[in-house]
Amino acid sequence: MKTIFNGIINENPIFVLTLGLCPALAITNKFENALLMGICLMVILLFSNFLIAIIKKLVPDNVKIPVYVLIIGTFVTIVEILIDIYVPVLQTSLGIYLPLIVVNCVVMGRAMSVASKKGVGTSILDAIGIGIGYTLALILIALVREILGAGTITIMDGISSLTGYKLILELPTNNLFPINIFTGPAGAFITLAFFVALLTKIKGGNTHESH
Amino acid sequence: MKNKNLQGILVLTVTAFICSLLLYLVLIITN
Repeated sequence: MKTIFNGIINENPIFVLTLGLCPALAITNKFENALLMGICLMVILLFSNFLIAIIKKLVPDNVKIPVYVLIIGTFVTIVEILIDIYVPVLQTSLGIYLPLIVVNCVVMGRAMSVASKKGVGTSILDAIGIGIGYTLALILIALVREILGAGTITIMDGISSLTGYKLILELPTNNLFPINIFTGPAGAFITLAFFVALLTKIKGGNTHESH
Repeated sequence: MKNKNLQGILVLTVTAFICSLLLYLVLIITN
């Protein structure tokens, strides 16, 4: 439980470790995209951490990175094939950021720092914690960006082909809302900076002191 | 040193083989 909690708060991949920011900034314009990206990353992280933790003693140090990239790439391709078959609309909304999970720092970083050093159980728990932390971070950023930038909350749009339901909440608009800048990259950076500052304040730490 | 390199090549080859087998299986199942 401590490992999972650690991945969500103390080692949150986006707000604390600041890893994997590329998809975090690019696809958080809709709540649905953020949620699905987080789930995809969690599934891939879980399987790759599990497999790497099993074979860690067989892999010599000089081929560690190629073997890990191969394993992560396989799981990413499997997830991509499944998404292509069951939810093809997602291919267009997540776009290139789904195959790019192969080189995502979060997955590679956890493989190198946790799965290749600790046991299978710890690696799985760490993957769950980091996956939940990543998903929550994406959801938070996406919620703020979508509410402020578009005045909507898209819960089910692309995946309506799978679930059969379409759910987009529309919030009342006025002179102030929506603020269009939040749908663009600048809004993503502002939102991310706000959350990083907030989490640092809540944790009570000063980054200069910790160095 | 030579043994270590050989082991590395072997591990990489076996991993690549297993990964491609896994992908092949997924493709067969989904089709």
